[in-house]
Amino acid sequence: MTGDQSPMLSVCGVYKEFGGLMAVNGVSFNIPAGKVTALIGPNGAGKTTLFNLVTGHHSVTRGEIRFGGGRIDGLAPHEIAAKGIVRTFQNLQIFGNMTALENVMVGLHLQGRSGMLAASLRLKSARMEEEEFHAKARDYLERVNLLSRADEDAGSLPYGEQRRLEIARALAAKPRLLLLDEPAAGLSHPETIALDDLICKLRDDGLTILLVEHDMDLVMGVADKVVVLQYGTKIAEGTPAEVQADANVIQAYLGSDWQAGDA
Amino acid sequence: MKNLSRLFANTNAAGWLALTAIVLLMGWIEIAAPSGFDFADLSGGVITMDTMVRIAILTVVLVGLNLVMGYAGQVSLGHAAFYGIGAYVSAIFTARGHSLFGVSQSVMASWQWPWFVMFAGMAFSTTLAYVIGKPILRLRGHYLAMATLGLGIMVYILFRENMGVQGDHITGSYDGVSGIPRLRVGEFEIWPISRYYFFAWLVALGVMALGMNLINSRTGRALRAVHGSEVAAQAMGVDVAAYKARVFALGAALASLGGSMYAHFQAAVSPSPFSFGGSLELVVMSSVGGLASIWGAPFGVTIILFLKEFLRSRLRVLLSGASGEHEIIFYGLLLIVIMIFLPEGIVIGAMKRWKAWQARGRKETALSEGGKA
Amino acid sequence: MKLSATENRWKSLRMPAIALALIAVILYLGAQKNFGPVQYAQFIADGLRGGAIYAMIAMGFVIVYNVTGVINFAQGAFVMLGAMLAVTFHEMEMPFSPALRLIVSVILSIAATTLIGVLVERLTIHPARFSSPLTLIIITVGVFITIQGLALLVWGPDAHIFPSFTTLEMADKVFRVNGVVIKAQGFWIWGITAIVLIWLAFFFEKTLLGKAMRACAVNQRAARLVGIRFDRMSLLAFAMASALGAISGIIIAPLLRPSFDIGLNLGLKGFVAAIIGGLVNPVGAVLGGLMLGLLENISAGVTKAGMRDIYAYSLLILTLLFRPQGLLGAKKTAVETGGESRA
Repeated sequence: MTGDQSPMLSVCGVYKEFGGLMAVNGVSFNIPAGKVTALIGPNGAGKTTLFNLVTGHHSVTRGEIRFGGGRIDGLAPHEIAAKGIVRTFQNLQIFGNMTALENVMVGLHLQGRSGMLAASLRLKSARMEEEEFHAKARDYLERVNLLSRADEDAGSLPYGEQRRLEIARALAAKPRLLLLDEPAAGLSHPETIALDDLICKLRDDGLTILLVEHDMDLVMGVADKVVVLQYGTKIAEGTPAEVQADANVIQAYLGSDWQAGDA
Repeated sequence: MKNLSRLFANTNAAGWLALTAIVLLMGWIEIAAPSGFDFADLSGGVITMDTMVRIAILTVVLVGLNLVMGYAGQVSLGHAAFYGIGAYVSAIFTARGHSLFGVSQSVMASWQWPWFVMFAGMAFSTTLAYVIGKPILRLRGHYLAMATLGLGIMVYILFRENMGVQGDHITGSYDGVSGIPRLRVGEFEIWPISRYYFFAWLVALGVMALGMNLINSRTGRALRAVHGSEVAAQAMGVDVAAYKARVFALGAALASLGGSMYAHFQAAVSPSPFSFGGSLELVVMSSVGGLASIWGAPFGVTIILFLKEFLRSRLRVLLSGASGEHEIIFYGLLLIVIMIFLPEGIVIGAMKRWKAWQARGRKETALSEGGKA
Repeated sequence: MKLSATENRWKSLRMPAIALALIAVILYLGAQKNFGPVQYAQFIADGLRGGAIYAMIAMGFVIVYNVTGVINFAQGAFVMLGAMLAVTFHEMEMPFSPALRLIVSVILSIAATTLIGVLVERLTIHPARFSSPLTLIIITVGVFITIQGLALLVWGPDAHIFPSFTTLEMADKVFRVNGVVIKAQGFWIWGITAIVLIWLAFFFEKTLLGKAMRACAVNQRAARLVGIRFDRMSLLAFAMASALGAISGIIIAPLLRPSFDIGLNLGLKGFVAAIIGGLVNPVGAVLGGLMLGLLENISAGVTKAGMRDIYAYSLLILTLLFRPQGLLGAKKTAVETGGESRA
């Protein structure tokens, strides 16, 4: 097993109940700093729920979530974001009522301080900040290769570009831990390869990433560590190779594509 | 001067200047009446100075409502309450300040007093909206709509029932408060109506400029993000609850300002414009002009007020024997049709269509040129 | 979240404590006006009569909200239409006895209002069924305004008269019990409300169609999968709601001299009752209606009549803020449900 001497995020015995149904059933795992950790499992295994627990969009029924040493369960989503956990969404949550550039500028929200009064009177501080935001946002769009779309309505971009825009927006928020919820869903093969490259590049820049993904080629290619969930319970954890050889995992995925592809 | 130009940097400059020019031109024509030119006569009584002042005042209110409903996506069916609070605070303190609260006659007579009251009213509305808004805005969709509606009706009843106290010495019950003084700056009285016209439009254009600056700022983007996707806004670190309460308070402040302007314009206030019907009219104006649009504010008000005046003067001929406010049928139909076919309002809807049409034109030109090469 | 034992005890005591404090304030104010048991009995009788009406209007909100997720602001317009159409049909020449004329006009009014409800659903809600809640609210507001405006055009601004069900005249038969005055129409209201509610309970519990509607309320997608035609259920919900609205408008008509603008207040009160009951809960809506009727009559009685609506809307806002699941609803807040379904 990989050494967990300095976990960035630790999930300790977390439960989540929805009206009598245990969606997450006592799951514990660590996310090592500077690595890509993947969370996989069949549909309904509780991956997205776990994501929502980490980001505070759902409240934990029982258990603890620690980030950088402090507890974050019980905090509001925006407070967790301020601590440096930023996410993308499985079902895209683009701000369709804004341009692509403005979407990324919302990602910069926490780095700004200008308020209502300064903004409406266009005081010098607000103007400086605005210019800085513009430049930064364009940088992030450049990184996901969307600069040419900067002034288009985000809602009218094609699906793959919206996915990339979400990642740019998340990166703009300067995450310490980036959570990607099925970033490859609905992407074409070349787009997935580009995504693969992007994730590796981000990891090499020192970013810690937690990934929920169905595309096993992508997971096995980029992940340093894999956690497998089934029915809200963790059934395996380890390097991609260890997990692929795990009897429980093979059982859970029996007959599924990735095993055949692996052979 | 340079500072002033910066203030308007975000305003769609051409449009804003055009509106300013129209306002100045109309004012000049009304005052100078070159060769007997008269809007009221030419438009069959629809375009009068009175209507134009009302449009300015309601534009101030609507910019606030559009920020709340259109940009932040929070339904307010009780916005007339804050409009009314501004009007009644101005009315009560400038007309009854001495008899009710023992404000000295010399203070009451000073030109600064009404202005002070106006700002005090805004401060009060803002605080009230913030305190009430914080818990109410946790509610979503229908619940929020109905809570604001309840709030609006309660405030109206308080006006109508003399704040729940016997007699009519406070809000004057059904009759309201009269004897509200005109605004002055030093010795310069902002009256007759032509002077008030310029004052009201100065405020309205200023508020529009501030509104446009705001939506193109960090705060404005946070508000729009709340509308676009609340979960995503939170995930980007936007304190959704705080922003909702703040924009609600800002909307209340502008409504209150508009209310004070209305009180000094009419020189009398009565409860009926601030009833549920009043809130509805604001929502109709807002929806027609386009919820998510600062420009929608003057357009929505103008369309509805003109329609109202037009129907009032024509409907009697059309439907002989009709009495009462039949124009509400058209409000209703307009609201339904716009919400089904142009939910973004006439301004935004038309702009989008225009853009799409232009884009298609560009593409066709590009294609034909590519064909040549 | 775990609550300590003391917190739990406080939570369970809070509602009774508030209720007791409210009763104390009411009794104190009543004592100032020298009110005795007779006055309170009168307030209670009047409150339960108004409450029954609110309950039935509230059921209209609950049915439409449960099936379609729309708060139908136009519900109040159906109430007004019920009353005004009944008046109009009753004024027509009919070769019947007065009693039969009344019955026929009532049936025609219910049928006509239901037809209008169906048209409203098809013409305005159905085309916009994929719109945001904001848009849908504004649409139903538009429907309300349009209907009220048309009513003004058709019936004018004046109040009309509809005869009492007992005497078939304007003046109603009055019962006096130890100084408490109860109009005969009150018994009609209680009786008809009870029959309608029992029928509704039977419909939703025992019939296939009722069960199908409930399935839509629980999970629209699942209901579709098992072959329930959602758009038919939506249509049926509007038909039922408008019929309920019409019935409540008709049975209260003899008491209030109906005019074109009675819909707003009655509709909103019905909504308040639905909210108190938790909006999705039919039993809650009925209890909410009765509670609202009692509260507004008693508190207006001990203070100032014009302030009556203040109490109703205070109750609305307090309920929304502190118990958005309704005073009687299960523990799940409006705030949370909204969040979870979107995340």
